[in-house]
Amino acid sequence: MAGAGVKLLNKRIRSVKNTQQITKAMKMVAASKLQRSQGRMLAARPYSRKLAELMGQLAAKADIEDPLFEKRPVERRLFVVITSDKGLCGSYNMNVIKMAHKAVDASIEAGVETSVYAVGKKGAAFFRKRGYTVWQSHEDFSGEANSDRGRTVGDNAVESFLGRTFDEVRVVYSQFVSTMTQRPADLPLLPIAPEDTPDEDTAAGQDYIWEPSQEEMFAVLLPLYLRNRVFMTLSEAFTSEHAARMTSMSAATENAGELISALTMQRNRERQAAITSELLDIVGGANAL
Amino acid sequence: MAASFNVVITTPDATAWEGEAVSATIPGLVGYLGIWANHAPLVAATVPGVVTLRTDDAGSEKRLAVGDGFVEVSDNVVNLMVDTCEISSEVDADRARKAFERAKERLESMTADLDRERARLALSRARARLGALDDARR
Repeated sequence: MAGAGVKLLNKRIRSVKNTQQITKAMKMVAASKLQRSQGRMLAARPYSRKLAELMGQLAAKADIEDPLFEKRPVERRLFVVITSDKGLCGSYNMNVIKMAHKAVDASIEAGVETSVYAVGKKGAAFFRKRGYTVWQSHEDFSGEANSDRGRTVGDNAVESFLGRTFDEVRVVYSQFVSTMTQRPADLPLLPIAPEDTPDEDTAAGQDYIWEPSQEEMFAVLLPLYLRNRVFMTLSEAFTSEHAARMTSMSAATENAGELISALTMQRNRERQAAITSELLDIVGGANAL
Repeated sequence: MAASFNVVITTPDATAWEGEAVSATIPGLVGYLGIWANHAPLVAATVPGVVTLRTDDAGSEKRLAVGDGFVEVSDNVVNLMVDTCEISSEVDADRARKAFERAKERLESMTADLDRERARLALSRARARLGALDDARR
């Protein structure tokens, strides 16, 4: 009898429905996290714009001779790789890791001692498993950027650069273009390239009293500027993460819905077939009498 | 009313306070800065401490505990960019007091330079928070 097939299908439908509920919940959570993270990213912009503006003014006027600008022959390079701690966010981690992996391999091939500074469990696990040097890792940021975390990561990078542990620091992370699009990027962090600071055009205008002097001011602002850049990077990466998770979970929910309707159709058809054959049996039996 | 000016206090996380003030006292790297309306353009580094804003002629004051940062003054706008900012009414008095004691103890027992520096910073932040408390709650 065909009843067994119906039972099996019912079981599958139920299990797909459960999965759909989970993906739906995850999508909702990601959506609210995305909103918060995006809001924070926007809220941070005024600070970072002002800071960049002042840095530009200073860089234009004062002669830049800070050790953070020092270009040394690169013998040891550090890649800060920002990924997520959790999976189920589509190709988000893979995109970043693929780019980082390629860059790290190229760097090693060029004879540079290369280490990875992993922010996020996924990146840390990937590079550890393949035997790369993971210099440090943070695996408890859980997709939330704040200025403290920016400071921790930024200060670590600066200390290692000034202490000559590394001659160059680069960041590989996912840029947030829109909710649907996130683009992996590989950007230099240290030494600071002079062209990174905004140019004089925006900086003209005011003739300030500087207290303390411009040179000292520069030394005070530089760490703030760098921390802020790292913070903005983290914030953008995590916003991307939530966006990627939301998109992929929404797709998963949709797919589950499609699967459910296909399975339901098949179940109904099979149930109908069973009823028809039973009826035929009964009718056949009655005729025989 | 005496001439007033705009004050915007921004932290990396958000705009912490925005409004008009008649005068502002800001903890600068080389000493407290008093700012009134029509101040000459100025950029100064600031240290953790208390920012006092007089918001009207009657002398009502607003006190805020701020962290490291800098201030830019131009065209009657004071842009204060700091890494932390707490309005006095938001400061938890007990917590601030405890943090202060803890930081003091730590500083006394520290030997390594780096840790000392951290403890010193924590102490100055704690002192700033305490200083921002309203007189009644002190």
